[in-house]
Amino acid sequence: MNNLRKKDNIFFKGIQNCSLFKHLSEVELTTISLISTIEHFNKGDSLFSQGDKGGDIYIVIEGSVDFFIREGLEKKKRIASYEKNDFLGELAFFLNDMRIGTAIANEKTSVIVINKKIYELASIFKTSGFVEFLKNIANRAGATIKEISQLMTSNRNVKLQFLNKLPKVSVEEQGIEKRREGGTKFKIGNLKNLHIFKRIDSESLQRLCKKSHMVKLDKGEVIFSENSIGKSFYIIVSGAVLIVKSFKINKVNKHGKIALVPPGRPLGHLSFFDNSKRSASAIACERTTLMEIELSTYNELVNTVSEETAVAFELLQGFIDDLAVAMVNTNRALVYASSQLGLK
Amino acid sequence: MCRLVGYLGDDIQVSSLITDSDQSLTRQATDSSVQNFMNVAGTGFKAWENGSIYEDDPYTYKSIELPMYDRTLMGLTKKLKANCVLGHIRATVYGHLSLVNTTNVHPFQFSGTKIALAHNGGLADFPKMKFALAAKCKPEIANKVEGTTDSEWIYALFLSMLDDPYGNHTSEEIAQAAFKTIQEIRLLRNKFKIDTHSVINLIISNGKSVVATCFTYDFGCYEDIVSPAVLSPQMHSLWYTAGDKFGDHDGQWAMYDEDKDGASTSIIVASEPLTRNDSTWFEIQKYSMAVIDRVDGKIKLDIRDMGL
Repeated sequence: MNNLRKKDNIFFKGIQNCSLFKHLSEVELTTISLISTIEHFNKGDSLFSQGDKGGDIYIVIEGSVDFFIREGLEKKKRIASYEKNDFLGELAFFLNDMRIGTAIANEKTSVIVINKKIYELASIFKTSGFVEFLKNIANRAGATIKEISQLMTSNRNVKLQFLNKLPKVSVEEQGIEKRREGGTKFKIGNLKNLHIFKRIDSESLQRLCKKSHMVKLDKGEVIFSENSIGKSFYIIVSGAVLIVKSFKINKVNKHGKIALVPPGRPLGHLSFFDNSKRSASAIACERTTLMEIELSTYNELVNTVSEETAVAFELLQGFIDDLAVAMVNTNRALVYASSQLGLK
Repeated sequence: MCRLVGYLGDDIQVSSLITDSDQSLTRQATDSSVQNFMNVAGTGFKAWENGSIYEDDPYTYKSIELPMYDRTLMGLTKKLKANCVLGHIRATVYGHLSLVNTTNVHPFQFSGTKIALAHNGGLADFPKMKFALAAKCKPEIANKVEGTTDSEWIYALFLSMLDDPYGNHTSEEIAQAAFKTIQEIRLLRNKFKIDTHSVINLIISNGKSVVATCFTYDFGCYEDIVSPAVLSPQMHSLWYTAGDKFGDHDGQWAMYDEDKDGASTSIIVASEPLTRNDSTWFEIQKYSMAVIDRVDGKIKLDIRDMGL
């Protein structure tokens, strides 16, 4: 192996010190270092510009980087700064390799550039370290989606559509156990058509069904409420679910519509990545059938070496694909809600 | 899924919407940005021009020529300017059971009426409810149906929801009739126990106002086979862009806002952005209705929640 890639070299240490890769083994870190380069920038140089195509991840190993987004044609606004051991550029993966802002060296700066092939490596190796890497990446994307949703509901000038009221008690709070039917009732042929299961073969899908539950909902039922703590995540098998965030305007409760989620998309999985409370409520807006997977079951699948581990990994990949869709859609929803200001 | 477009605003060369922009309606016939399905079962448009002879009557074009080879379409739209346009390219199931002829080409407008309608979507199990729906239409309106599509019957029902199908109507009256149409179809679906995903995205215009619906019955519900439309809501999404001038500026097609005063003079509503760069387009939420007027030369847009 090239001397530059040995574990005492600058690549290895730089990657190891970055929180995104803290769970990776020596072998995994060495593998990543093989697809990495070091680049140096003077103050004012741009690492990449808003609108550029590119999915590489950058780790700052010396100096600092400021991150700007454009406001109009001429103005730019600094929204973040990155210092030693911080990483940036990872969100482009979720936005079709589109850079959402411009990164400029704030002083003489060196960065490790990790080729976007890292996502393929994670898919190929499927080792626990790479699973953690994907979870960390998904966590960042999920946090960004939550921030955007928060922005949409906290800005009084942004116009959303509202629901007049929400049922007070969710299906989870009433005891979802009472609503469960056996996961083996799912038709494998139908599941295979759903985006999230496309990578999973029929046999593995059957195994997953055995570990899951079928939950049927009537139109208007709340599956889970904002700020509740989830013990399961769900995949919409048929029907559709409305994501709603509640907030107060002039002391009056409002329930803003954030997104409409169709079949084949997961629900409640963002809490899974960061163990947080539900960031929004979910309401069945048609009669809806969900596949429920308990978090304990999923963690068991991921952490135990068994035939199901690969299924759990594929599902994680499905979540990440979904985050890409969700991020684009959430961004769009924010742009839409903001746009309503200009047209009276 | 069909593709459709509505325009209201300053005079525009009709070709910019129908054939010229870098993701124009006719380009979507074979190269839609949201679906892998050809929309080549008929091209039609209505174009209203203020000050033209019989200005309430739009210029009408309908053809089943393949739109990308249709020289008549290209030639006419280049010469036509209009302040309101309603355009449509039809998609239908591939196969000998589909009837491709000009009577099935949208937009529909019955003789003597002043409102035209184009539809994107389809009503599942339509034959089950067809005769009950016909019974809800005014007889003289039902008699005008010539084609075989569910869309034309939706149009007949819509006209029948108006007190006077042949009169002049405000945008509010058009919106109310569209809402009632969707409600009536909901009742028929309940009666005949039809509960699968059915899209009813309409653009309706009388040349002075545009009303557009983005609505799906039983969203995401299916029996045994999951259709692509269920899995890809983008196929039945609805978008708008507003500004002062739609056109090609230095190689970039977009709706531009030239006077920068914050009030738009023109608006396009479409089933997908008409430009490759979609950054100036906004998606209208599902279960919504857009009611568009032009008051004192400025666009007034009201997007309403139609309820769940």
